[in-house]
Amino acid sequence: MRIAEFTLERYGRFEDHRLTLPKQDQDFHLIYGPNEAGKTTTLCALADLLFGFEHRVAHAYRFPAQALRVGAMLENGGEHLSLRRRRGRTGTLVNAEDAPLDEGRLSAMLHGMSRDAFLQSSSLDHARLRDGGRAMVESRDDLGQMLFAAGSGVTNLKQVLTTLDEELDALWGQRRSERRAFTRAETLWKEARSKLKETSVKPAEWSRSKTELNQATKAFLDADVARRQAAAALADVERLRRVYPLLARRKSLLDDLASHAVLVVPEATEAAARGALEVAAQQQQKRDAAHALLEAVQATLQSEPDQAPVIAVGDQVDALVQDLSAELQRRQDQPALEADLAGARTTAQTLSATLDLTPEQALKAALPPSGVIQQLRDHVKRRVELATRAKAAGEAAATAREECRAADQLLAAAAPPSELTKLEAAVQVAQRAGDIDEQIGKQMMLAEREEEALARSLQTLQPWSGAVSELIELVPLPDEAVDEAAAQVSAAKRSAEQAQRVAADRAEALDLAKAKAEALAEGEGVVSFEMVREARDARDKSIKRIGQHLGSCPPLTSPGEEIEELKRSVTAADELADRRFAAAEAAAQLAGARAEVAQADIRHRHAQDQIAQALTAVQRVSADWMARLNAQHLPNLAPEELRAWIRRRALCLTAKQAVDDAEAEGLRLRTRRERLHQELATALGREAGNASEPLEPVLAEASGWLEVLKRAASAFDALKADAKSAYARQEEALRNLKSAERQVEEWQSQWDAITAEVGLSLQPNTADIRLSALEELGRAREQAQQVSGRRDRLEALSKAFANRAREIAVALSLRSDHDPVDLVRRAKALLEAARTTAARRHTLQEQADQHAKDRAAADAALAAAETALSDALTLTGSADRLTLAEALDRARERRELEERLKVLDQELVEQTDGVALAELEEACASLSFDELGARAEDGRREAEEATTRAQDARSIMAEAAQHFKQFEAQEDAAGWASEVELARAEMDGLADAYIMKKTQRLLLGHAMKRQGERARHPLLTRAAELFRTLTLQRYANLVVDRDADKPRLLGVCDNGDTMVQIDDMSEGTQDQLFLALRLAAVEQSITSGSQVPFLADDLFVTFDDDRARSGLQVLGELSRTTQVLFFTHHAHLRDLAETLFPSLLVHDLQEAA
Amino acid sequence: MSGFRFLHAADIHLDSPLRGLSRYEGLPADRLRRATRDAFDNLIATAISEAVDFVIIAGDLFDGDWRDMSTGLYFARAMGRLDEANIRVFVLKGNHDAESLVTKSLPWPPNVTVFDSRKPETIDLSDIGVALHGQSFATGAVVEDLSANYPAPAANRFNIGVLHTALGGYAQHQSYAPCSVQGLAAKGYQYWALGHVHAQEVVSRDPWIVFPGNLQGRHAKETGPKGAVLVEVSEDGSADLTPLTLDVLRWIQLEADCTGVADLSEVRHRIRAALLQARDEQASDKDAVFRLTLTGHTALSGTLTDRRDVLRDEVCAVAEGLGDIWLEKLIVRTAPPLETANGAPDDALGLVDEVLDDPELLALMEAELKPFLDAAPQDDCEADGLYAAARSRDWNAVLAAASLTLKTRLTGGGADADR
Repeated sequence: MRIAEFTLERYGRFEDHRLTLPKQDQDFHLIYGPNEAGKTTTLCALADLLFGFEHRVAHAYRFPAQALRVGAMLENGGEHLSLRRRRGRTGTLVNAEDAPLDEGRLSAMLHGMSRDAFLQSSSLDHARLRDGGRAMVESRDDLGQMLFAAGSGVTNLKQVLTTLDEELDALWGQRRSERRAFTRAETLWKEARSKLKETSVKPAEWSRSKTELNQATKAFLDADVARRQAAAALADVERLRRVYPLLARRKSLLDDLASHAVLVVPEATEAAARGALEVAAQQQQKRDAAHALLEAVQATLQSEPDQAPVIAVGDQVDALVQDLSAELQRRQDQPALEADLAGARTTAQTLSATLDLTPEQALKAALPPSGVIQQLRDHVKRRVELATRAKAAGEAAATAREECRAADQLLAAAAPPSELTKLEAAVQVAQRAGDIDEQIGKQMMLAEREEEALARSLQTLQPWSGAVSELIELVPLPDEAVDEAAAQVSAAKRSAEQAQRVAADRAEALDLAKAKAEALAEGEGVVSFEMVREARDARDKSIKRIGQHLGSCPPLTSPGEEIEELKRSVTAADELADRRFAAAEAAAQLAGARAEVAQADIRHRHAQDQIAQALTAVQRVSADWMARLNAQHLPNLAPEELRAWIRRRALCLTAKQAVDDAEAEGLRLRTRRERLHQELATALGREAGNASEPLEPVLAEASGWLEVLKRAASAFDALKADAKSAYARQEEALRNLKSAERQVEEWQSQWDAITAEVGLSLQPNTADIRLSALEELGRAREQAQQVSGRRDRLEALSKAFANRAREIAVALSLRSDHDPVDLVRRAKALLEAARTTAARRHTLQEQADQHAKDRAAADAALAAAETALSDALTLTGSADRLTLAEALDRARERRELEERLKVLDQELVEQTDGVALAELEEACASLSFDELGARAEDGRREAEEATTRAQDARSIMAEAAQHFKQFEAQEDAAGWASEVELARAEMDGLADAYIMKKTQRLLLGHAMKRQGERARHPLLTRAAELFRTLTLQRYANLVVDRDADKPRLLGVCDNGDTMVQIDDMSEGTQDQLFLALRLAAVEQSITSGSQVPFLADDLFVTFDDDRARSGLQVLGELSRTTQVLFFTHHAHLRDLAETLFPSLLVHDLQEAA
Repeated sequence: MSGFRFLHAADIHLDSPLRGLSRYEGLPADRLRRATRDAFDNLIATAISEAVDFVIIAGDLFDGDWRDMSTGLYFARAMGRLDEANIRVFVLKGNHDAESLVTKSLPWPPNVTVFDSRKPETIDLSDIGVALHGQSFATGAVVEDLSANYPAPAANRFNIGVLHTALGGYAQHQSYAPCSVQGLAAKGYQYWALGHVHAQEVVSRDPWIVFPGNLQGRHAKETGPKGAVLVEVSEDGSADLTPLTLDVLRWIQLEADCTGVADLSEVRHRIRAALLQARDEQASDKDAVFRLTLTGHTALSGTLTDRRDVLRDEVCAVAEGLGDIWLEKLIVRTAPPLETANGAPDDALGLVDEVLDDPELLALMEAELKPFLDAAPQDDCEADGLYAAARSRDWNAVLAAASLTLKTRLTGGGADADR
């Protein structure tokens, strides 16, 4: 479908404005108009024509709404549809006579397209282009989903890709990290190599170490020899020092021995004698002590009495004493037992009253077993639970009823804010109106600007001057008249100019003809007839003179010369004739050229005449034009100038119209604000204030009050919800109450059955007490029985105890009529005293026996010692033990002197180091001990120095040996070499794995890319082509990135690698992308048979000149398949379009106005 | 001439590390790294127990780039034990130890004689009627025939030529000191004690031309028993040769055919069976390190390749259960069943197949793998597998392996199938 003709009959500020849009090869039409020229109005009118007037946008500020009309002639294939649209609810599509037309034909031409769809896809301004484009790339509309849906079939590939990426990252990455296996292996490898290098034993180092060890060893051995020598010298001196005092002591001992008498008592004999002397002395002392003690003990023993009769009954007394505490306990327990028995019987009697039994029954009647009592008690407990539950349910029901009542009261007390709806509607209306205060302010400023523009426009009309009203009343010449006059002037001028051009051309032609003729005439090859004739005349004259000479009339004066002259003239004439014959063509040209010269001269003169006539005509036409202008009070301007003046006048009128429009719009806004003031005041329940005041404070107040009301409404809703909730709880509580009551009834039935079965008459509320009484009665009866038995047993035991006590009393001669307990206590005291006395006698007897035994033993030992001393007494010649001891002391002193000499000799042997004693005595005899000390000090110092030197050498040797030993013991290098190979093998294995996975990754990525390209939607492919054109190849392609969380569109730069997100593109490039997507969608729509005009309203606002050119070319291509109406206010775009499309028809809305 | 006995050994490479073995839980690295010393100890013990008259080491006693003196000292101590047993040792320097600093600095024990490297040297053992002729390598790369200058055989002697040579050329060995069997035979010696070739081989029996092989295998390509030879020469000059197995660690290469396996448990079963057989037949009672290659056509091919790391751990566990046998490397060389090798063109597998030949992908591979290849150590390590292919820019080989495993992943059988 295309629009062949479009008429703004009455619409906005237009009246009977017609756009004729003839179909051409490129159905591209440019509608030009600066701001306020009516571009937007025209676009609205087109939409209103096709889809009906919108109610919210009025274009009725010049014409009444009912009078608004737009019309068109539509073409669709061979079909034509002439239609008009009026404002209204129904039947708005009408024919020329305002009779309703069927919408069906129009709808069919539009393929059922709605106004919104039309505006979104085929009637774009910059804002809609951006909004629609953004919706597509964000997949918010069908087209966007179409873009991204294709190529998403292999979704599981991405998961594989992600897994591969993770595995690769764990193996190796350009940034080193020990968490990556290859890096770890590489680190181990490098460490092992480093360690290998560190631990390897260098041959040169080993050799050097070996040499050092050898040298150190030799130095040590030398130092050690010196040390030994110094030590030997020191030892000699030290030996002398050691033996010097020993030799002196030996001499003294020998002197003592010489002075001591000889009494030889063998050491063993002496020891035996001394031992016997000591034993004899000890035994003598023991015998005397034992004898004295024996006598003292026997005296004491005789004074102690015999206790045998009492001891004889000791066991019986002990048994009674043992039972005494039991008897005392029995006597103490007796009253308590009696009390317990009386208490149990009293309890039984009390319980029998509780249980309505006689005392007899209480003690003998059969009681229910404890299991039955427990069963009954459980039932009672269950009843308590049920009763508690029923009570709780009842309380809950009561609480719920109270809550319901409270909620009802609150609800009744609260009133719904009735004015909310009204106020909300008023505020919404006011808010929808936008910032109307600002709109009014802007509109006033606009009106002022329009006034200024009008003034400037009037300035452009000079030399004409006057008021706008005069200008409006001025009747300009119709275009036809201006055109006719301009055409006449122009034709006259053109005729004059043509005549001048013709004259100039002819003058030039004349000059050329003359030059040509002259050139031909002067040319060497041309022989003119005159030249031939002159040559022949000269020849003939010579012949004539020769003839006359031959006729002797008159004779020649020089015949020979004449003959030569004749020959020359004949030759010259012949030559000229020959040359003329040869140059006959050139001669003919010369003749022609001369003829042309003559002809050109005639034409030139004729052209001069034409110039004069044309100039005369120009003067005449100009004079007529000026006379006509003066007659209509128009400025004296040439027709072309007047046309421009008329256009500027139209601009003035347009400016005047704009002033009127701005004032009208201002008036409309103020009226609306006044209405809003009124509505808000009504909603707020007060009188409207000054309508010229800003609306904003009133609106703010209304909004604030609206919030208050909304909160009140919310609170009211909350109360309602609370009430509903309370009723629900009440219902639930009642249900629970009924259930509890039913369970109580069921329990009662079961209770009756059980009590009947066990033969008890029990009431539920007293059952627990009675059951407890029954149990208590049972326990009291049992207790009474037990206490009675125990009392009888105790009485029997007490009797037996008394009998035994009395028997003992008789045996001990005590009075038997006393209390058995007292008797036992007395018997016990007697027995204890008897036992003490008996024990003492026994101890004294034992002591006497021991003393007698000791005395006998001492006597024996003394006798033996005397016997042992007999040999010693004989040997020493001693008379008794005293003299014997003295003789033994003397023998011991002699022997000790000999022992000391022997020890001294032994010490000398040890200290002489094997040197002969005589040699030492001789050496010592020549030296004093002090001299020996000085020599020893010197020797010691020398030895110490030699030792130090030897130790130093040993340390050096040990260090060298230690160093060398390291080489011997070291085996780590081989281990590290092995580690190197292990790590290297690990690296190779990981490298294999990395290359495998990386290749998988690349392969899969490439396959997915191929898949994406193959599966991409044709819409995207076409959009990419258009985008490439619109961006002047700056972008090469468009791709869908499916690696992101959500598929997204990316631009591919001309290098083929760089991907640019849409948000990273410049605003202009984004617009080009959106236009490319939109045009691709339009082309797709056309392909599918839906062809409607494409209306573009200044879409290139962000395009630079080159991209705007591309944009126009793209739209031009589109216009070969569907009609394109390009609206712009940019003169450069108009100029550009005129350059690109030679047959372009430009519709200037400004002129139309 | 009296009868005598000697040991002929070569290529001991003392203390050189084992190659290609990567560490894992349970691998007795310390034990394995002592392999060359332990094998050498076996040699010394055998020489003493067999009461040989002398020992010949025909080159490559040490590694050339091995500068650890402690290795030399260890060797010296071992020679000391032979000296105590009155056993002489004759050492010839080969291509690996020609320039060894250890060799140059070592205080050779008195019972050790090192052949001169400037000219052929003859050592006359008149007590047992033996003449040894030999020339050590002066440098690590001797390319002329040293045997050509060896002297004529000594009269009334059992002549032994000691030579480190590649003989006529062996594929796995560089062609050092080349010579020919005919040339050696023409010398008139009774025995040629050769070294350099690591596999034991009796090249000729008349005269004896013998490679004893290396003493201990050091990597996966040196499989089978390793040791030296014991030569017993009788009074009449006839010799008898006894190969000795002295190694302590056996390298084994084995394959497990996975043709037709349908699940991983079956794979494990086959691996265990192959391992059991190899251990019994090849390792004898020694420690063993094995390289396992999975072969055959199986639908699990991609899974096996992609799960190689996991599978490797499982193989290690199987080996640990068998005792004293450890995994060096697991190579998956299986292929998918022929009928299912290619994916359908319309699905993801088809896509993968489709881009394999894309030049853009090859350029991408070059660009994306370059940082890793540049960052990885640039040494002359003998890498194999994908790493080697990538280093030589054989992208087609890399892509072939990766595409197979990738397709396995895409069909849910990849490395993360069990996670």
